[in-house]
Amino acid sequence: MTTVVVADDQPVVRHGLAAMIGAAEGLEVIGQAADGEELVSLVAATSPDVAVVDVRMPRLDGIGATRRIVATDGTTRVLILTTFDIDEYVYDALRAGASGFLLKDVPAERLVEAVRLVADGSMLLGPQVTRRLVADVAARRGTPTAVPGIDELTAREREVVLAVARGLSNAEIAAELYLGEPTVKSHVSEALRKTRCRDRVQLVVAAYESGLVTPG
Amino acid sequence: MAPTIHAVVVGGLLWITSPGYVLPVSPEGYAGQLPGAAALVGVAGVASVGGILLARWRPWWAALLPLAPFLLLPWTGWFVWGWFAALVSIASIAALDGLRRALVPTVAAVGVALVYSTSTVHALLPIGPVTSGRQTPAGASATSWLGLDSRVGPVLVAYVVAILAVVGVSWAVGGARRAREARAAAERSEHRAMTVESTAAERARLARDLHDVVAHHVSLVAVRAESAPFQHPTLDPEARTVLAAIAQDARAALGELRQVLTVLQRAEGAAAERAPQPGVTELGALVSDARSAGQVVEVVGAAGDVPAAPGYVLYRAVQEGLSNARRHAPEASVRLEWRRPDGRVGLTMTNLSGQDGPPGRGLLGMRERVEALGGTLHAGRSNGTFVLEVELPVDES
Repeated sequence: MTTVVVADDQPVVRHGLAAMIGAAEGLEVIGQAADGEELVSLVAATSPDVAVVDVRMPRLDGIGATRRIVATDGTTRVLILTTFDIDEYVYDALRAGASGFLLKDVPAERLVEAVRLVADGSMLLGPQVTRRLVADVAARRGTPTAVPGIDELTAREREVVLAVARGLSNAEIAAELYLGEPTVKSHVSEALRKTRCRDRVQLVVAAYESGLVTPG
Repeated sequence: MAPTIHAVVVGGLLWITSPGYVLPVSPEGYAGQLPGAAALVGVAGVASVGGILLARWRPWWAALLPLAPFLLLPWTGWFVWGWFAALVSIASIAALDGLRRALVPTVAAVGVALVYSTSTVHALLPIGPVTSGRQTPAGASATSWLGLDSRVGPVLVAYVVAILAVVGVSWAVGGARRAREARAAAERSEHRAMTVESTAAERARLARDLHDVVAHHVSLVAVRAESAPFQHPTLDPEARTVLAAIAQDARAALGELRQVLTVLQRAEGAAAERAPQPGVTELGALVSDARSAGQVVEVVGAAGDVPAAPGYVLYRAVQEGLSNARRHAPEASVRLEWRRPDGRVGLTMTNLSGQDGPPGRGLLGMRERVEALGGTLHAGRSNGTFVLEVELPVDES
């Protein structure tokens, strides 16, 4: 059973999201929070697998809360939900350590799917968001920051990371590199371990930030 | 000096230097008077004054008016000194707007001085007819004009220097005035540009914030419609279909709102908000924040339920009002009074105002926001108290 907490300052939205997630098989909502501070304590107390978090909340916003949650030793992954997919939110959320980014008004099945993907660490951003992330990184291109562990990747792992950064799924990567899907999966896990990334999204961010992938 | 003042002064001179005024006191009577001279002199005086009044617009033509009567010189042997004064006056008025404009009247005045100082013609002055220094027998003819005399030089120099001094001073005064006016005009247009710019920025911000409020509302509709079947499992399939359609419509509306917001965001270059858009429910926190910062705030009544858009505008008004009060009179207390007349919500903020000054940009923006929602705003000082009144319509349907 995957445990989930939901944070949104609007009760109607919060309850609605919780109802949609709770109704899905294998997902259980174990708590709700109305602001960032409440969320941080809730996560500390319940250590859920996934926190579904709104960006705009009073007291502490969702991005600040994400940063605090990720900074702890816990294993909780954060799925950011917002009304606006403003680039700035996406970029800041990912830098804060969010594992996924989704618009609030998505259909229930997409929401549930996203929560499941984030839970097993394989959530990818939609191709649209990935493209914009790339553009954003390109705009901010300066000196790449060293990401520990990125140099330890083998040539094969590097290839896989590059494919992940392009937004491909494991199956797609397997087809492209003529590998078995389990092999791709193990390369991804190895890359995650070496770069100490929590999930694939963070791996993509690390790939861009280290200069392994150059936008354009 | 305004042309009318010139006209009055020169008009006086014309009167006291006219033959009717001067010649009767002249000791030796006067020859060379033409029949009908009185009428001609009257016409010349009127023309001279007219020239002065015309000087501002057509200085060259204006100069011809007092110059024309000098054509009588060959027959009269005298001229009214006021005509000459009128020429100098026109040159002086024209010089206010630039030396070029003063060229013809100045040359005319110098010409008259030259003729006067090199001939035996008489200038009629209040003390009587005066020549440039050559005492000639009465009835001297124009043929002796070119005869020179040792006293002619100083008289000519004195006249020319006086003419040039008057024109020069006028020119300098006019230049200073033009510079001052140009500066004032520049300041005015700069101020206007700033007002326009800040109004535009304020409107963009208002549009963005209001769209933001609406988008959150629509997002709420989408989530609610989407999640209703999960919260109410007993809903029949027909209701589910309707709810799904509502969710779909809300998503479509949101997609369009996002595009509008992207444009507005770009127009304003603002950072993305991370806090929810404030409304009346956040006013309590705002007031208590002000109090903990040491401000004395007295609240009378309550805003009650107010929809998001007017709520947002009221929040901003109170925020602006509190921070203005802090800035202008940090020690003074602020009174916040709420009213709920029919279909409206009213707010009166009163605080002691430390200093007088023009309304700030904040107030401008506040008015812009209030009026955009069909409300009214009054702000003003009386007896050292600043009163801000805001009233907004509230659609309670």
